[in-house]
This record gives sequence, C-alpha cells and structure tokens, in this order.
Amino acid sequence: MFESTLLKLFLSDKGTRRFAIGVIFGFAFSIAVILGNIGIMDGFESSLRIGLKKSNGDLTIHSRYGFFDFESYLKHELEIANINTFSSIVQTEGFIIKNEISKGVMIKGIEEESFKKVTGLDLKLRNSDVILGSELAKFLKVGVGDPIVLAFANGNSQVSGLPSLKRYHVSGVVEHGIYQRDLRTLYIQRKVLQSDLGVDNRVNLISLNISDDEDEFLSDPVDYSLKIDKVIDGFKGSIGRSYVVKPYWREFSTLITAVKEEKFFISIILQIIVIISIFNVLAFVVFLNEKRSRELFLFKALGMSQKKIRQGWMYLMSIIWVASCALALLFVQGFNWGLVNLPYFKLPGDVYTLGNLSINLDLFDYSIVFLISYFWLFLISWIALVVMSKKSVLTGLRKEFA
Amino acid sequence: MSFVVVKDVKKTFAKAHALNGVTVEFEAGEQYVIKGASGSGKSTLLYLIGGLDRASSGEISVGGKNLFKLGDESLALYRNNFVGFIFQFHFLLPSMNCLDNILLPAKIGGKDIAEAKSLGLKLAEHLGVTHCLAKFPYELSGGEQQRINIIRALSLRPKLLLCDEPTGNLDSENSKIVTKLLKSLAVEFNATLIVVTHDESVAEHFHQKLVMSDGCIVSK
Repeated sequence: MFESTLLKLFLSDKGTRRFAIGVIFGFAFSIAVILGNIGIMDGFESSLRIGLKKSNGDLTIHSRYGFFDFESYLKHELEIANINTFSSIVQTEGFIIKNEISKGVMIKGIEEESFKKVTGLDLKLRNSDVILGSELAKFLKVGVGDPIVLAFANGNSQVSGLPSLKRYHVSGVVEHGIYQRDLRTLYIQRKVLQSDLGVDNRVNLISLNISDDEDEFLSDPVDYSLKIDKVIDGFKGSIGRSYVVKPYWREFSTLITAVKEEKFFISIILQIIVIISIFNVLAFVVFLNEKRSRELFLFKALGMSQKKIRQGWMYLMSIIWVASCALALLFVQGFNWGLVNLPYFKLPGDVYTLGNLSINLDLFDYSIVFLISYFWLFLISWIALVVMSKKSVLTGLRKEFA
Repeated sequence: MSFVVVKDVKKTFAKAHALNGVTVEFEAGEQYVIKGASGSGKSTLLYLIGGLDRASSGEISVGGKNLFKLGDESLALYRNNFVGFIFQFHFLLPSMNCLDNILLPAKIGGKDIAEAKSLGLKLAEHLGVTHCLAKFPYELSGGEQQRINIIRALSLRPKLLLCDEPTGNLDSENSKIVTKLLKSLAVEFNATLIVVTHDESVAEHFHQKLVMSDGCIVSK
C-alpha cells in the first residue's frame, strides 16, 4: 500500500515525470533494438525455410541411378511410411533463350495437382506452357504470352551432340521468396517434359510432405525441421542406398547455421546497448534520490526501514521495466511494419537470398530479452541504492533540515 | 527502572566529538527539557534516543530494549511504534494535503488507517485545525503547520515524544501556545516528553531541566 504513496511522491512533479518518460523511452528503444535484431535473424531463417519449402516440399528423394519408375517401388514405400502428400517430378537442367539472351535454368516437369498439395504453389500449365520464376522473367524481360525457347542437353535426335530446342509460351510468373529459386526455376508439365526428354513415364525426383497439415510447419518451421530429420532417418533404413533423401534446407544449411551463430553473438554484443540505457535509469535514481532526499529521510524518521525504501525503489523500477517492455513491443511492431512495407528496407536479393525481411519472435526470445534487461536494471539500481543509503538518518536529517 | 536509560554514550562525527560519555535517565510519563548552546550535543542525544542513529559507544535502552542491539528493521519499527518526532521545521510534504500528512506514520507502519484518522480528526478538533485538514501545507500559517506536525507525531499514540526546537520557527505567542499544547497532550497520551531547545522562555515551562555543554550534561 505504501509503495503507491512513495510512487506518488516520487512522481509528484512534472520534471521528474518527464525524466521518467525519457528513461522509459530510452530503455524501451534499447530493448526493441535487441528484439528487432533477434527477430530479424529468426525472421530470416523462418522466411528462408518457408521459401525453400515452397519449391521442394519437406524433402526430396532422387535415385543415384537417374530416372526410375516411381509407381513400381517407391510409391509403395511411401504409403507404408504413411506419407500421403507427394509429387513425382522430372527435373533437368537446360538453357532458356529469349532475344539472343540465354540463361541456365532448372527445369521442373510437374503434375500440377500433386505439386500444389506438396508445395502450395498453384501452377496452371497447358501443353507448351511454361511458368517462370519472377526474377528470371525480369531478367529476360518476358511476360505472360511471350514465346521462349528451351535448350535441353540430352542431344538432338537428328544431329547427335547438339542440344534439342523446343519452343514454349510463358503462361505465368511465380515467386518463391528465394532469389536464387526465382532466378533459376522454370516449370513445365511433367508429361510434356517426359516426352521431350524421351523418358517415358519415368521420373527422377520425388517431393513430399511428412504431414498433411500445412499449419504445423507454419507455426514453427524450426521445430518442424526436427520432425523431418526423424523421417529421413526412418527412410534411410527402409528405401535402401539407391535413393538419396534430402531435406528442403540442405542447400542452405550453412547459411542457416551461420545465421544462428550470428544471432547468438549479436545478442551478446547488443547487451551493451541495454547497459548504456540503464545508466539513464541510474541517473534517474540519483536525481530522484537527491530531489526527494528530505522526504526519504523524513520517512526513515517516521519509521520506514531502509529495506522498505529499497522496496519502494524497486517498485518504481518494476513500473519502469514493465512500461519499457510494453513500449518496446510497440517499437518492434512498428519496425516490423516498416520492414515489410517500406521500400527503403527492401534487400538486394542477390546478396541476401531473400528479397524481404520480417521480424519473427517467439515467447522464448521475448522472455530472454526481457529477463536479461530486468537483471541489468535491478542489479545496477540495487548497487546504486546500497551506495546511496550509506548516509545515516541523523546525518541526512541534519543536512536536509539545516 | 527508568523508561529511558542512557549509559556513557559517546558519539563521534568524523573527528568531532558530539557526545562525550553522556549518562542520564528519563522516567515514564515525565516531561523534560534539554537546554544548551548550539553544538552542545542536545539534538544528537535526542536523535540517538529516537533511534535515528547509532552511538559510537555506550548503551541506550527504551522500555527495556537496547536500541543498539536492534537491526535496521526493528529500529524502524521502534521509531514508528514508540516515538513521535517533532522537528523545528515541521516538514509537511507539500504534495499531500494535511490529513494525508497526518496519516503518513500509519501508512508507513501499515497500521489501521481508520483508527489513525479518527484520532487525527479528534486532535485536529482539539487543536483547532479541523479546517486545515483538506488544505495543503503551503496554504497554512506557521502555527497551523506546527499543529499539524504535532498531530502527525501523536497519530500513533507514541510513548516517547521527542521535540527538537519545536517552537524555533514561531513567534513568542505561538511558541507559548505550542509548548503548553505539547505538555498537555503528553499528559493526555501518558507519553514521556523530551524537548530540546535553547529558548529560555520554552525551558521555563518545564520542572525537569538538563543543560548540555560540549557533549556532556553539566546540570540536572
């Protein structure tokens, strides 16, 4: 009860209230900077995983011996493993040519319905249609309806040793969210590609999801990846060494590990910002202690123990901490909005893989940042209060009442 | 045994000796005045009895409790439960109205606020300052402020009433009124009253007089 009286006294004048607001803003901003950085790192990993999954599903299986008949063996194995969402794909490399510009691309022959179930990409293809990644379309300056030519490396049937050339029309542009995928991926109907390559009904890649529930992945992509690892371990025993199983993040696993390491070290380094802002709090404690010295000594004379006065200070510090954390949440939301919506924050995708960033924070991130800021705030305030309380009541009264 | 027993108490500030082995006893319910020139150690003795500081050596016991053996928490409790302080500068908190100022010791000690308020109202009526309770201290005259200060000191029915130059800021007329008030209230509350002053006109109201000089009691 008395804490509120003490608080009323502490914050009774406008100057102190303004100082307190300034301290809260400073502290909140420093917390927000740390949260923002951790959130960007997490957001980067999360966006990268979502983007990678968009073109591969949870994992891919390919044979060490090239094309294979999916229906005769592997499909059965997937059914035994209770995998219901899969898509068989023909994947090859080739060149896309348009107006004398050519670029090496990954050509994916897909069956639209099953591919949509696995990746979520709704690609509408007809015979002689192709869909390009968005960056590839930009690079070639082509749009829907434009003709392009694909050069396949499998050899011309009439003139051995030369690539075979086929003409197609662009029926759409797709965005994966991963720059490299958007620059190098091209989709075509599987049966068309099988015919063009002369591989009959055989395929060379299977994409699949370990769960039919898309939300399970979206709710926690990192946790979901652990489940994928388990399934891969299971497959290793069941489908034999003829097949290679890869999780969707395999190509970028080094980058993901690097981001995690970076997140850890940046979090430690950014503690300095919190400590600097806590010196503002310290200045506030010293200022208030000087300003309210008479009252504090009077309270002691009237029977308030040093312990109770410290509790009153800690009550005030708690309010500053809670207000700062709440304000930091607002700052983080504002910062996230800016990252997502403002063109200034767009990333060069060729450098950073992703074109856009967003802040992605979970309860653990919030807890750890808030608790560490709490620890620093209370440690420094406590030391300051212990040092300031060395003066006896009598000395204080004599000084203040003189 | 006396209510307050001071035995060979010494107090040193840096290298200055404020008290040089003071030994004195105060009986329960009695009224005392301590006189002396500025710097004689009278206020220091008062504050040590009030538990506001610790002596360099010696012993002070109040109601059988040795103050120097009490921890910070117990000493604070002693100040809140046993002692009523009246200072020369009333020091009422300007951010609170007079009633809130009066209730401050009860709030600090976590006491029954309603009871403290009831006593405060009764005393305010008795001292003629009921009209001041809703006002802020800066709206009152010096005499009214000191009356509110007295009510605050008595609000928890202390057994020991310690006054450091209680009339130092008042004119002679108000000084006389306040001194008489303190004496009569101490009787009413059955409290031991110890007043520190260098004002002879205040001292002449008391039968039991102590005189201090250079940190020692030179006359009883």
